[in-house]
Amino acid sequence: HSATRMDFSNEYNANSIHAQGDAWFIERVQELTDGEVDITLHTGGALGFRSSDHFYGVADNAVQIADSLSGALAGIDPIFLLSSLPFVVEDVDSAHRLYEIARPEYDKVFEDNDQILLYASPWPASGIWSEDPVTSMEALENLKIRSYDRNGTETLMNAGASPVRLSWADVVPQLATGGIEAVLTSAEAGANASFWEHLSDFNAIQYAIPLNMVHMNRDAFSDLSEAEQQAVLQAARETDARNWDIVKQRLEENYAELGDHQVEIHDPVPADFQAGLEQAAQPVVESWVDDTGERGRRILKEFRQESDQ
Amino acid sequence: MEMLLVGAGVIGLLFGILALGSWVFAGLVIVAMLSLWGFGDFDPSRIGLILSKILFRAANSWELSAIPLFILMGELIFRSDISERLFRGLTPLTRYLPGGILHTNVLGCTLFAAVSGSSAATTATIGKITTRELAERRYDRSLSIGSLAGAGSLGLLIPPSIVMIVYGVQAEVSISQLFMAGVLPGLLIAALYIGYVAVRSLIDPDLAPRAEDAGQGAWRALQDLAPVLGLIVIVIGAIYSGIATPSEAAAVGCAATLGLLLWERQLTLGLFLEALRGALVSAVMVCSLLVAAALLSTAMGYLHLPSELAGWIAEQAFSPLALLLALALFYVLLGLFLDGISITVMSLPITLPIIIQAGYDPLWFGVFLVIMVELGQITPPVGFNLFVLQGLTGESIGRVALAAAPFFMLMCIAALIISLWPMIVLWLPAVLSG
Amino acid sequence: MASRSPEGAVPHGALARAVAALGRFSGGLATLGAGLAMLLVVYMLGHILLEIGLRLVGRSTFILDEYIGYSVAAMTFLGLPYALEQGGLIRVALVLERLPRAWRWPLELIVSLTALLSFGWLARYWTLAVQRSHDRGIVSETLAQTPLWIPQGAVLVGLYLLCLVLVVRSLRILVQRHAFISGER
Ligand code: NA
Ligand code: NA
Repeated sequence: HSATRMDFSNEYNANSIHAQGDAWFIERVQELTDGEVDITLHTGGALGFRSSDHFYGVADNAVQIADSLSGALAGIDPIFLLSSLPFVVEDVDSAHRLYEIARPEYDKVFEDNDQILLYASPWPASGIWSEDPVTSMEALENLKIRSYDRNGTETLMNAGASPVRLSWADVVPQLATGGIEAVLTSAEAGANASFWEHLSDFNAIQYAIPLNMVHMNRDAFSDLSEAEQQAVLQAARETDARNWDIVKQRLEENYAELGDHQVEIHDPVPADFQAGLEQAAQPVVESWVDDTGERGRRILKEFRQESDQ
Repeated sequence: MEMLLVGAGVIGLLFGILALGSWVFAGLVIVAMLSLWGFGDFDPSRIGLILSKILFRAANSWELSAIPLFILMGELIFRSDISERLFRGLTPLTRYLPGGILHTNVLGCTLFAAVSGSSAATTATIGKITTRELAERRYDRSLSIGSLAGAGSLGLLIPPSIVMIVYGVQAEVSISQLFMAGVLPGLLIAALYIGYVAVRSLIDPDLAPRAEDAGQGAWRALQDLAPVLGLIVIVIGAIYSGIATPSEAAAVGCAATLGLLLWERQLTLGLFLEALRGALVSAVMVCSLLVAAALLSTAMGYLHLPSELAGWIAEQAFSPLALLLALALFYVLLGLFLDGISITVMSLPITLPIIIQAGYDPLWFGVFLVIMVELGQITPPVGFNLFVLQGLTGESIGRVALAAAPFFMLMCIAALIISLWPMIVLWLPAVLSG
Repeated sequence: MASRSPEGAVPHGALARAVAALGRFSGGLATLGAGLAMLLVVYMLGHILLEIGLRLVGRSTFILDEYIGYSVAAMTFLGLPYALEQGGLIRVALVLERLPRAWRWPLELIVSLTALLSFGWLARYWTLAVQRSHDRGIVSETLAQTPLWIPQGAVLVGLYLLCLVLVVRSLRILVQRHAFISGER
C-alpha cells in the first residue's frame, strides 16, 4: 500500500524558525514511520490560509496539520493570548514553564474541536527596534511604534507611546520614509527584514515570548496505524524540546548578526524602565484574566507561585 | 513525469471552459474545483470546505483596496477634461518623436507605476484615460492596446510594488533595496517600448497619424499637463514623505483628484456617482478575478504542482545559465494560468535555494522574477492586463493578446539584457545605500 | 424583460411573465447590492484619509487594515451580481461567437448552470462557516473584536444574490431559447 499523504500549512517563509522546526518534525515522522507518513510543508501561506484560518481549517480537515500564531486564534478562545501577555515571562525558561502549566488547557481547546496539539514553536522575545535608544519611559513618550496585536497596542498606549497598526508589508516602507519610528518585534524578525537599514537600536524589553501552535486534525490522526500514531507523537515531543532549545541559540545568533550591522543592543534595559512598562501592562493582564475566568487565574497563580520559589 | 500531465490537464481544462464562454472568474473557480476532484481525488464536500474558506480569505485583503480607489481616480480623470488636456499638452512635446501621442500609454504607465503597486490598477487607470482619446484620433488600435498591456505591467517593476514586497518578505531581501533595483530595469523596458512604437510608426506612418497641432506654445502645453503631473507629484510626495503608505496612496490620489475637480468647478454629484458606478463595475471585475485566481492557486498548491515542477528543475543539475533558462520557461508556463503573487509564494521555497546555490544574487533574482511575473500578466488564458483591456475596449481576448505579443517579446529581451548585465539591477541599490 | 428577436420568437404566456417578474426582482436586489458596494468604496476612501490624518498627529483608529479588508470582501461580492447583470464581467466567448444564433442558447445555459453549481456549492459550505462564527461568538483577534459573522455574512449575502441572478438567467434562457440575448461582450 502507498504512504499516507498529508498537507501542512504555515504562513512563514521557509527560513523562519517556525518553518525550520516544522521541516524537522516532518523529517522525524518520515524516519520513524519508514516513509509511511508523507507530509508536505507549504510555507509562506502557499495554500492560501493564514494563521487565523488554521483553527477551523484543521478542525474541518481542510488541511491536516497547521502551524498557527497563537494570538491569531484569540478570537476563538482568549486562552490563546496567554503567551503574548506583556511582561509575564522573563526569559525562554520561564516561558517554557508557563507553556507546560497551560498545556492541559491548550490541549482541551484543541480536543474540543476535533484536533490535537502536537507541539509549540516559541518566538524569540519581542523588544523595541528604534532609531534612538528607548531605555526610559520618557523615550517612549509619543513614540510612533508599530505593534503586532491588541495587547501590545493597549500596553504601549498605557505607557504613553503612539502605537500604530500596520500590516507587516507596510512596515519597511514606513520605516524608510519615517512614517513610524519604532517597531515592537523580535531581534530575529527585524534582522530578517534588514531593519538596520533604517533603525540603529534594539531594546530588549522582554515584552513577551509568543508561541506558535502546531495542531493536527484528529480524524487524520486516528486514521493512522497505532505505530504511526506513536511515531507522530514522539516526533512532536522531540520537536517541542528542540524548538525550545533552538530559540535560545537563535537569540545569540541574532545578537551577533545585529552586532555585525552596528545595531546597538540594550539588554537588559534599566530596572525602573522595566518596572514602568510592567505597570503599563498590568491592566492588560487583568482584563485577560477577566476574559478567561477561572482558567486564566489558576494558570497565572501556579506560574507565579513557582516563580517565587 | 506525472506532474507535467497534470499541468497540461489543468491548462487544457482552463482553455476548454473559457472557450465555452464561461465568465473568466467563474471559469477559474470551476477549474479549481474540477482539478481537485479529478487530479487530486478530493471529495466534493472537502472541496467546498477548502475553497469557501479561501474565497473569504482572498477577498478580505487590505492591500486590494488600492484597486477600487485607483480605478475611481481614473474614472474621475476620464470624466473631467483633465484627460483631454493631457493629450493636448503632450501633442507639441511628442511632435518630433515618430508615433506622436501614442507614447502617452508608455509614458503615462511609467509615471503612474511610480504611484501604484499593482499592474491591474496601472493598466485600468491609464487605459481608462487613453484608449478613448487614442481611438478618436485614429491611432492604430493594436499598437495602442499592446503598448498599454505591456507598459501597464510596469506597475510591478517600478516601485512601489506589491510583488516585490511579497518577494522581499519571502526571500528575506531588503524591500527598500528591491524597490531601488527595479527602477533602472523598469526604465529600460519603457525605453524599449518607446523605441518599438517609434520604429513601427516610422515604417508605417499610418499607424500614428500626426495629431493636428493647435500651434500652442510650450507654456500652454505645460499648463495642460499640470493637472496630471500635479496629481502624480502629490501621490509620490505623500509616499516618500512618509505621510501615506504605498497601500494608502490610492486614497491620496482619489482625494487629490476630487480636490482638483472641485477647484476647477467640474465636480458635480452626477459626475461623482457615474464615476463611482463605473469604478465599482471595473473593480468588482478585477477583484473577483483575483479571488478566483486565488482559488485556482490553492488547488494547485494542494496538487503540489508548482513545487514539484520546481523540484524537478532543482534535480537536473543545470549549469547556471541553463538553470536560468529553465526557470524562465517554468515561470512563463505557470504565468499562463496563475497570478504573480501565487507563483512567487509557491515556487520560492524551492527555486530560491537553487538560484543562490548557482551563484545568483537574490536581489537580482527578485527583479528577474518580477519581470517573469509581468510576462504572465499579458499571456492568455489568464492574464490580468489582458482582462482589464478586454473590459476597457470590448475587443476579444485573442485580439488583445495578439496586440500584446510584441511587447511580450520586448520584455523577454529586457530579461535577457539584465541577465547579461546584472549591474543594471544592482548598480542603483549599491550607490544609494552606500 | 422579454427581448424581441429578429426571428420574431417573442416569448409569451404566464411563464414568460413570471420569469420577467423574477428578473425585475433579482435585478432590483442586484442594484441594491451595488449601491451598498458603492457606499463601501466611499467608506474606504474616508477611513484611509482619516487614518492618514490621525497618524500625522500621532493617533490611529487601530482598525484600518481590518475594516478595509472586510470592506473589500463585501464590496466584491455585493457588487458581483450587478456587474454580472451589467455585462461588466469578461468572458472569452470564442466558440459562442462563431455559433449560429439558434445554437447559442444551450451553451449559454451550460455556462449559467455550471457557474450556478460551483458558486452554489461554495455558498453552501460558506453558510456553515458563517453559522459557526455566529453560534460560537467568534470575534476578530484585533482591538475591535468584531463578530466575524458580520463581514462573513456580507460575503454570503453576495454569494446568495449571485446564485439568484444565475437562477433567473438560466430560467430566462430556458424560456426565451434562441431569442435570448446575453447582453455581455
Ligand atoms: Na509600482
Ligand atoms: Na498569463
